[in-house]
Amino acid sequence: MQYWIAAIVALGCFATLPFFLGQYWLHAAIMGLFYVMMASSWNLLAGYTGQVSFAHAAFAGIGAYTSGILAVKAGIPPLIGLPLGVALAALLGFALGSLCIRMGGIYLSLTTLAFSEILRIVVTNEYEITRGTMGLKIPPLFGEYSKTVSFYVLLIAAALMLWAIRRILDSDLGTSFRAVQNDETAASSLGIPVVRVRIIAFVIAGAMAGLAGSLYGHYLMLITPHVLSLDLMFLVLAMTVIGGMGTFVGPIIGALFLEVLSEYIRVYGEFHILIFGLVALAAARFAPEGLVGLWRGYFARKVRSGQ
Amino acid sequence: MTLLSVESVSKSFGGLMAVSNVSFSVEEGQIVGLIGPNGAGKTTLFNVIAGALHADEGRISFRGKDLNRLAPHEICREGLARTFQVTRPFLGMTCYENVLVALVGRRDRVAESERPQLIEKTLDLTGLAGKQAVLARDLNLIDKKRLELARALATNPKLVLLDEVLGGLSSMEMSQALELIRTIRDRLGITILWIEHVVGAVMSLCERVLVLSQGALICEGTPKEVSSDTCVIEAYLGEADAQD
Repeated sequence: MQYWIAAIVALGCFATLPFFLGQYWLHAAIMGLFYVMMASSWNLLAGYTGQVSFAHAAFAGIGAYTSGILAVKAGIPPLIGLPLGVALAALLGFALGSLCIRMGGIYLSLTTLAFSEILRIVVTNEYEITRGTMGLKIPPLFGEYSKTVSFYVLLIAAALMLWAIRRILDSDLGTSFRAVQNDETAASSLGIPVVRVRIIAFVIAGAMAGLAGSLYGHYLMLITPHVLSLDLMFLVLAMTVIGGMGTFVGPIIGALFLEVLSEYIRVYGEFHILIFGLVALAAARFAPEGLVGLWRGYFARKVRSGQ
Repeated sequence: MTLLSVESVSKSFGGLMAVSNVSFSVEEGQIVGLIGPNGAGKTTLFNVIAGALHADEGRISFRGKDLNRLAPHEICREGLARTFQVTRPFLGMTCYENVLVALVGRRDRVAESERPQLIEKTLDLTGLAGKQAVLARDLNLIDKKRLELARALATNPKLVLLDEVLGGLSSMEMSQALELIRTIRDRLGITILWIEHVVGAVMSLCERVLVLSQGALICEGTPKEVSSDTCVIEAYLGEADAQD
């Protein structure tokens, strides 16, 4: 109950942001919401089922390019293209999840990495369709372009996605996810259909990334192969790890924190990704549960010393 | 009634015949011991029955249903649960959540509202009362074994395969464990097939004992028959006596 109140209060505070923020920081807030969606859905797959996929940005790219290309080349309204993009991302999530079913750990990561890179190369080179690195100009999701409207669209999408993730984690499926992550052999010996559970996680995470990617594309109105690049993938990974992988709030905190931080250190150019990488490495080694874990540890010590 | 029947089952790894042409059956309500020297193929046989490995030859049926082609989770749902020799609790989850996984995996859906009570009952039975919120990684060896048994029982099995539950326990803990095994059979009516190295314990608790040596079933019968069988003494008991 307290949990839901906190969530609603946070949502309410977020909803007032357009009244305070200038154009620049409003853009940062929208990017933050995109990263919250990316990191939280990746965390569902990597943090809760233990399948560390490097194809998450690729799924965002599939969502963005599907609705983008359909709008530009076939004149299909983005509101129809978006669900199609989500569906295609889910379908490819099913395919990739099935392909990786006998793999764990590093093999799964490498296979998904290869999938991601293949997709990026195809998108970059299919100039006729995607306009390659020039980028594809696409229309906004609906009506005229408005940053404030885009903000609310992404806010609602992120809120719904987080709500869905919370519901999944509290359900039998969520319990199965964690059992599979902890020990597949033991899970299957207790009646958990490990193969199905793993594929379901890929499908859900793929669809969610597709949704985030498509919304992102229609907000920027320009999509480039950068959406499905490893840069974005590693940024999402760093956000999740630094915030706290395998916790619900970790990726949210990590995404918002790194987005704000990166606005301040933007002047150092591409080096900020490098710094995030190093911080993520340090976090993985010294604070495996990220900022959330540090906070909980601090809180637990305080309670103990208080008694 | 015959619960489990194993007919001419063989399993080899490369050139090594781990289980060769083993046949036996387990009747409902029995506690059956499976003993044999190290490397006799006991755990391999368990893995084949539970579906973790597939038999090269032979047929395994449980309550009249063929298990050969089934995945481990399907076998569990048929009512055949197992524990592992080296315990495999879900380390990052609490005792409560560990048992919850078993309820989630069940074919007969346990209503949300009945779960807390059922989990509490199961943990109490196995001696983990009051440890619901403890993470499995913080448990000691015997409690990990208890948790694993609790999980297996929560799947609502007809037959439980126990793989060396006594290993590493003190004599005090052993007698508690034996009491628990007896309770599971007598009070819950669950049939037990039990691998064990502690021969004395097996002899005191089991109605029937199977002896495996170098992959082959060399003897089966009552504890009395088995302990007087010359093949068994040669393969196993003689060696165990010498160590004692």
